[in-house]
Amino acid sequence: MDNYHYHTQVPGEPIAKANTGWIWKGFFILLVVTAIEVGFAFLNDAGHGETRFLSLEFQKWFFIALTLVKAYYIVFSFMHLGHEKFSFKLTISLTMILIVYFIILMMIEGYALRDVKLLQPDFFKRTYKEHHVTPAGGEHHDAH
Amino acid sequence: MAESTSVTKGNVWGGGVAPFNVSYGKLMMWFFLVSDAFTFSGLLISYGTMRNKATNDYWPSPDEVFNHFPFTDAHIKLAFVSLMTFILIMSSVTMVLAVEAGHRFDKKAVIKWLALTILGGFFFLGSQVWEWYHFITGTHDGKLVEVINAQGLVETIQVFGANMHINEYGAQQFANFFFFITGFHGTHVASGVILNIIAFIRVINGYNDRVGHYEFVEKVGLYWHFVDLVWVFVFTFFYLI
Repeated sequence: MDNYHYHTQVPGEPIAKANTGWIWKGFFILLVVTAIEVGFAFLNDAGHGETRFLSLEFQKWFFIALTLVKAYYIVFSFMHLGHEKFSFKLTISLTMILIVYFIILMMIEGYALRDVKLLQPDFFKRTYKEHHVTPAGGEHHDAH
Repeated sequence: MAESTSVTKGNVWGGGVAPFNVSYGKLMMWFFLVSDAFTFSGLLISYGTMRNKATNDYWPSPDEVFNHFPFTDAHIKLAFVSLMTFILIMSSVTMVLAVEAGHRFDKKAVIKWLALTILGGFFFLGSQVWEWYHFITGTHDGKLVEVINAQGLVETIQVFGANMHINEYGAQQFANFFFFITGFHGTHVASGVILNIIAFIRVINGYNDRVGHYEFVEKVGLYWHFVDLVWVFVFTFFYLI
């Protein structure tokens, strides 16, 4: 039907030996990158009142960069896109890289919106009566 | 217009040629995955914008919300979700091994690796269910929140967990996005597990021997890797950033 030819098995022919080295290599890369991400999130904790080792800004972009590394290995190695024709690789990966760029752009947009919002006066004024109702049973909860 | 070209020797516009030299089924699966990636990107883009729009004291910090580990009382931040990520990556690896065994027509190995992939998928779904349960039922102490009750008066109530109306963690959008994104992804994992089970039964029944190739396993493998890829992004944007 098309010029894509399947390799067919001749009955009785012995099954070829497994070639899985590249698969485990990809797994270890993914594992190490994830471990670095989680370890970084752990160690770069602000704690209570202490400053971080590396700024929160840096941490966020570091995580995005590592995620793109993982995405590359999943798509190009596990999904075999690396073995396909160059034009097909472009079709898939260029689309997705542009999408990732869109995510990053909108994150920056979100930051801008936050800064604008802080400059505005508080127009969420409470217009209802400020009459506090004690909880049923009259129990007094300690606010932790 | 070319007349009666033979079926085996096609030309580009006359048909009979596989674009990019990829078979029809695989190409269509790739196109579907790209369109599904657009859907998830839309969700993640809106989450990223919302999250950055909120100030840091209003939006809850995921590592403070998700720090429970099942069957223990331990409070280790991000531990359980890292385990979930590891399980999904592991099931992706077993899927690649199944596809590779399919290329060599090693039926027993395909069955073994597909079974492990299905197991990993069920494990992940169970873990996600546990995360949701714990997120909805909340922490031990809950939180005091001021709400407006039915009479229009301000009332301070003790809130436990999260639902679609109120939650103890902070911004309501956090809970909404969490439920939608992880729920949508969980649906994809569930359908992926079902597809894997279909592939598994087909291999056992000898369908792949009949057609002479293991391409169905390969296509389901593409879908499963996509599910893993989306989880990598959700894990980063939701839990880490």
